[in-house]
Amino acid sequence: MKHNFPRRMALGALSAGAVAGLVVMVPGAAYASVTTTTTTATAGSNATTQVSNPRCTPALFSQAQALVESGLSARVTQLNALASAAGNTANHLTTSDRQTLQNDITTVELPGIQALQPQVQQAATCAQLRPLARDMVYNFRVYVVMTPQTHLTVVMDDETYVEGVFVNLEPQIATAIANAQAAGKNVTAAQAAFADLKSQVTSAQGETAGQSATILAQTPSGYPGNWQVFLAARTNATNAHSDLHAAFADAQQIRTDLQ
Amino acid sequence: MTTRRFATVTLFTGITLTLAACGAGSSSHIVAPPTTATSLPSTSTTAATVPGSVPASVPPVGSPTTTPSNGLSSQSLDQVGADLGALDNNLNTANSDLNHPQGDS
Repeated sequence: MKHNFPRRMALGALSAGAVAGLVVMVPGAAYASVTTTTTTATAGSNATTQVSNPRCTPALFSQAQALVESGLSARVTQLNALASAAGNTANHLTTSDRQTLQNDITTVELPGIQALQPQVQQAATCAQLRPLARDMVYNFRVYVVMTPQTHLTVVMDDETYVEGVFVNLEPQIATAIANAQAAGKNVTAAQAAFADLKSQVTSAQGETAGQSATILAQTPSGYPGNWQVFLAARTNATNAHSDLHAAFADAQQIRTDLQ
Repeated sequence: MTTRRFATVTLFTGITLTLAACGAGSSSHIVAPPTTATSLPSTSTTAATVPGSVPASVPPVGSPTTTPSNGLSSQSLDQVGADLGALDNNLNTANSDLNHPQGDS
């Protein structure tokens, strides 16, 4: 997985130089009414390059303004969705992680974006619009920081929770195997599955330890550098996910063996 | 043989009680996920309460309820399976965020 930000930055710089004086110096997404998307499939990832049009000129001001308004509205929707995810008690976010996410989303990001909305409506020139559009993107990073941060933290805490469930089950499983063995049952396969279960859980614990704290420490100003942090966390989460599913299969096998 | 079988059933019943307490806590999501799960709780065949959990309806000893025959109840495993299912969905969402970010924003 490789994020194609350097390439995108290079393209952006080139475009800016070519149409100096006309280009609105904000990321393309802010003014992307017409977006040409080039997607390059790589190993398990997509690298996307966007070229945006129109740019803010006096003739196109209304369109540019509408695009920024649309961008703000979309971010409000996304932040509300993230707040909902963070507040969803069906997941296993720890109390502190839930509080951190909810605080960031509802007391920093959402009010910040909403504060820009009337300012954009009141803007009358490109000069007034540009800094607002820039703030919308650079100050809040709703899609490339807040979104993966929220969802990855949920995943990590979910995994940590399931690890705890397995750890709590281990003594009971050990006793069940011992009892079955004492009753004359062949428990060789169950013992092997149990050994693997413990190994898988330990491995998952290693993958998730400290990850939520690392993810939550990322901020909008840390982008694009923190993109790699999210990718690394995703790898750990994926590995832990596989470990936990393997542990679950072991538990099912043990249960079957002891019946 | 009968005595031995009775003893085995008694032991499994104790394990059932332990799992019932554990399962109740899990299903209500009250069991605090251990942050450092390096120490295993002591093995017990009595109706022990898992730290942080709230034992719900513990069946009376000897009751012919849904007692598992091997100490690993369907309820416990079903709950783990449900948690893993939710985890699958959440991981897919996170993957989507990273595979298809909505611009540099």
